[in-house]
This record gives sequence, C-alpha cells and structure tokens, in this order.
Amino acid sequence: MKRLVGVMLGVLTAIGGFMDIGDIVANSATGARFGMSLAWAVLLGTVGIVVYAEMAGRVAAVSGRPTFDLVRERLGARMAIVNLAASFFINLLTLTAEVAGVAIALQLATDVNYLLWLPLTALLVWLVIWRVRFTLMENVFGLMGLAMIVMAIAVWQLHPDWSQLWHGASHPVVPSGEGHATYFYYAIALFGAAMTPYEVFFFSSGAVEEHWTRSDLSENRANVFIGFPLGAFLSLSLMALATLVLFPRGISVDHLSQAALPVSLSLGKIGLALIIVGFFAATFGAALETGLSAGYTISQYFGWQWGKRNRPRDASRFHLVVLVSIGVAMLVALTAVDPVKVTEYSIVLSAAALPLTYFPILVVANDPDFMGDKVNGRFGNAIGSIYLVILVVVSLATIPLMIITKAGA
Amino acid sequence: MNDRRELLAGLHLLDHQILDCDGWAAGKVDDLELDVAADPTTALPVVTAILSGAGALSRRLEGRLGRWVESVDERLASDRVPSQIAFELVSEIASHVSVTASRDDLETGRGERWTRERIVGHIPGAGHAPE
Amino acid sequence: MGSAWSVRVAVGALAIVAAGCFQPVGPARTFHDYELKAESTAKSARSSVETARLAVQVATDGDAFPPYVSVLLAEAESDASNSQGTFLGIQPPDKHSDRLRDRLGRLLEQTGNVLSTLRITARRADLQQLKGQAARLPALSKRLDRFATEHE
Repeated sequence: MKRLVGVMLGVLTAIGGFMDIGDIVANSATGARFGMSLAWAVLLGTVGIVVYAEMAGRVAAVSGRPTFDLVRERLGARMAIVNLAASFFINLLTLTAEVAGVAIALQLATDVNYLLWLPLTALLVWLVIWRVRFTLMENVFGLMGLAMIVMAIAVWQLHPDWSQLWHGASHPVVPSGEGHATYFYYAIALFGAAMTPYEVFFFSSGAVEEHWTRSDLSENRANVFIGFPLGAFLSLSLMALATLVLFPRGISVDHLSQAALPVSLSLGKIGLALIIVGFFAATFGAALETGLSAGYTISQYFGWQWGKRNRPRDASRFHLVVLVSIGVAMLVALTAVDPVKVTEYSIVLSAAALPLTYFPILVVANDPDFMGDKVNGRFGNAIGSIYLVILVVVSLATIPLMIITKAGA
Repeated sequence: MNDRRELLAGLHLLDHQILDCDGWAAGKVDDLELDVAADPTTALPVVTAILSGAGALSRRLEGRLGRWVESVDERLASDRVPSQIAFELVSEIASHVSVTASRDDLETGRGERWTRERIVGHIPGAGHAPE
Repeated sequence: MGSAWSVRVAVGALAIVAAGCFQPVGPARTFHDYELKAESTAKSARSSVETARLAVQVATDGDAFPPYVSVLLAEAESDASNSQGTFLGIQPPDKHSDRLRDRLGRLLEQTGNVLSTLRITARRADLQQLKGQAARLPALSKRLDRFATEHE
C-alpha cells in the first residue's frame, strides 16, 4: 500500500502535467483532425519527460534541492533570470487556463456559466495550497484523476477495428486536405504538452517537499516509469476516442465538452460522470501544480524560504507569490478570453523555451559536487543529449510554424 | 571563522544559497563586499560582507533589466545601500553558505519580515503547517 | 546573452500571444481567397451541426445528463453563430463572390435557426423533444459538406 501511495507524486504530476485542459483539448483535437497519425509525438514527448523527470527527481533526492534552485548556482544569475522570466510568464498563462478549465469542468456538470465559477475555483485552488498537506493533495487529486481511465474503457466498448487504429498510429501520414506545416505544428503542440516545464519544477520541488533522500531513488524511478507512461496512455486513449467518433463526422474540437462526447456515446451517463470528474481533477491538479510552480521558481531563484511543508508565515514571500499569481490568473480568466486558446499558446510558447528548462537539468545532473556518485551514467547522458538536440530543433521550429500555419488554423 | 581560505569567489560563494543558524533559507549571495588592501601578505582582496537582496543583484545584472530591478528596490527600500551580512557571521561554506545568526536578525531578512508582518501573517491559518 | 535581449524576446512573446488571442480576420482579395474562407466556414458550421447531432443522439438515448447536453448545444450554436458573423463580415471581392456569399449565407442561417431551437429546448431539460427538432440536421450537414467539397 505504501508503494502505491509513494507513486502518487508521479501520478499526480503526470495527470496534472499531461492531462490539463490544454492537453485534453490538444489530444482530442488532434485525433479529430489527424486520426492516430500523431501518436508518435506523444510517445516521443513521454520518453523525454521520463528521462528528464528521473534526472530532476534524482537531483532533488541526492542534493536535497530542486533543479531550479541549482540553476542559478551552476549557470549564473543572468542566465537563470532569463530562464526565470520565460518560465514564470508561461507558467502564469497556463495557470490562467487551468483555473478557467476547472470552472469549465464544473460548467459541464451544472450548465452554470464558467465565468461564475471562476472566483470559487480560484479560492479553492489557493485554499488547497494554503492548508492541505502535500501528500494528501497528491493522493486525492491523483486518485480522482485516475477516473480518466474510463476513456480507455470507452475505446474498448466502441469495438474498434484495432488493426486499423494500430495502422494509423504506426504509419504516420499527413491526411489529405492537411498541410505538412500544420501537421508538424500539432506534433510540436503534443510534444510540448508532454514536456511542459512546470511538470519538472513541480516534480523536483515536490520531491523535496516530501523529504526524499538517497534511499528514495527507487521510488523516484517507480514514480517516473509508472506515472508518465500512464499519462501517455490516457492521452492516446483520448486521441483514439476522437479518431473513432469525431474524425468520421468532421467534428473539430474547440471545447472541453466535445472531448467528453465519445465517452458519453460509448458508456452513457456513468462514463460521462467519471470523465467529468477526471477532467475536474486533472485541471485542478494542473492549477495546483502551476500555482505552486509560480512560487517555487521565483523563491528558488531569489533564495527565499519556499514550500508548502512549513507554516505559511515561515515562507511568507513564497505564499505571497502564489496568492498573487492565482489572483492575476483569475482576473485574466474573468476577461472571458478563450481559455483553450490561452492554453494552446502556453504549450506552444513553452515548446519554444524548452531548451532553457532542460539544459540546466542535464548540467546539474552531471555535477559531482551535488550528485556525488549518483551522476548520470553514459546511457542517461546519451539519451539526455539526444533529447536536448530534439528540443533545440523543436524550439527553433515553433514560432515560424506558428506564424505559417496561423497557430494551427 | 578563523582560518583563512582562498576561494574562487565566483565559484564558491556567488549565487549560493544562504542558510541561517536554524536552517532557514535566507536569500542568495548576490554580491560580495571586498576590501582590496586589507591583507598585505597575500595581496588578495578579503571578503568583508555578503550582499543580498534586490539592490545587490541589480548591480550584477546588466543592462536595462538590472536598472529596472534597481529602481524597484530603491522604491521599496528605506535606505539605498544593499543589505549586508558581515562575513564574520559565516560558519560554513559548502554547497550553501551557513551563517550563525537567525534570519530574523539579519538585515537581509527585511523583505521576508515585511511580507510576514504586513500581509501573510494576517491571513487565517498562517501559523499552522498544513494538516 | 544580455538582459536587453531577453526583454526584447519577452515583449515579442507577449505580442505574439496578444495577437493570437485577439485575431482579426484578414480581407479576401480574390475569388480564390474568398472561396477558401467560405470552405473553412462551411467545414466549421458542419462541425457544429455534427456536434449537435451527436448531442441529440446521446440525449435521446439516455446517455447524457441535461446540463451537459445544454452546454454542448449552446456551444455549437455560439460557434456556428461566430463563424457566420465572421464570414458575413468579409467584404466579397467581386460579383462571383456575391453568389457564393448568398448560397452559404442561406445555409448558415438555417443552421443557426435549428441550433438555436435545440439549445432552447435543451435548456428546458426537455430532452425527448430534441429528436423531432433535430430531424433537419443530417440534411444540413450533407449540404454543408457538399458545399465545402465543391469549393476545395
């Protein structure tokens, strides 16, 4: 039982990181438009986050400090502040979309306009960060998020042509009527959604909040090797549902409600109820992660006491940053800007900034001063370096593709 | 701290985490105050104080960003000198820098104290660790 | 890698995000341009119609709760209405385009009417009524699809 509970950090990170409102809509929209032909992008991103989250968790367990904390020490104040500025801004965009996402999930259940739910959801997110213990938070939202497994059951229940699904995923082609630029733009969005930086900030700071030490290294691996692939499994289930139900009908996905439709069709009211609970948990989890990450990144750069584990008055500036961030996010969301658009931009912008986040992690994980004998092995460095090249390529391609395709229109 | 050490200030001191006597985080080493002529025997400058806080950091960040940070700090701080920790208080230099004082007694802790007293301390539940 | 550079990048990123979130629609200068916009409008309208069809199906089969069906139909209606508004707001570049505008305009009008009716019924939680009101959806969907294919 303790084993299961111990994996919850990874599960929550993955669910909040992989299945927030942006990812839900992106995976569903991609399935509705490209079928399974972009499944490879999800898998590519999953391997990347597994490799880097393991490194970040190991750094936190061995050195007692999260990776962002060490970036300034290792790479200098100037490089780190560029990192901070980019990360914080993108994080805030994402937080805005997530807070709105929670409100939208509540709207799906009640038909009360999401704008009316916003103040309550912002307050709830802040309250959970303020008062609820880290492990309890992980367990509750991680478990609730597992309700999304209903999506896999829904795929099963539709009795799909498995060989056709498999063929679509394993033989990626750009569907007729779609341009190559758009295809790769969506690939970047899916890849970026799997590797969003706040996942690493949260995972590595969370490891410190949970007082991980060297003896927890196997728990680190379990978290990473179970949690993130689970997230990928959920993403691909969602993509398959859209492929089977929405693609043939020419339905394009622009709303959270449409992403749930295949589940309703396949499994009826129970399925629908579970997926709405799952969406609520995922977006709430993501709001918690991005809210906390706002505090983590700024506090760790400036060396302030940070963390949920202390009395709030002992980490005052950290909590102030979290409070103000949630407040700003709520206000921006209240302007009724489309949260789906906001989150898609945040994914794409963070894709453009990926090397900034992950390069320092690779550097720090190789530093014997922090890591002792637990530095990266040759295999780990090989994959890490290959991915860094991929990240640079992705980062360079993102903005041009966004301009050419008019953001995937 | 009586024994003298030669350090690569950039590597061993700058941007490192400061911990107070109770293990609380107390900022980062943003800059150092050096006394250039202090030690005639080694002809090396001696570190006399650690500077920490926005006023100190802005001098190390170049360009417009640095000047912007500096102007923000000037507006918030009552005096114009970046806050310091006298180097005699340093007890250990490892990956972090430990000082023998409590963070509440340090000049550099004014930002945290202000936030605690004026804002966060007033929110219900601030004194309880999460349950 | 100076900080001035990073400030410029930040402003650039903000500009990109702002431009994206408040996207104005460009004008159509040729018939071909106009035709492309008409095609994408038709596809988008068809998507709303098909969403509504599925919504009605799950509603009448008892596979969904009334609030959810309401949200689906309200969103379908507002999406279609936005597409219509955007398309009609584009200045047709020539007489040939005028005819295109009339044809599609009529289809969009009919789409808007049906979706409105469905939304109103769903809000009243009168799910069984939906079936009858949705009878015109399949034909509308086919016509929108045909329109889009003709103007690919």
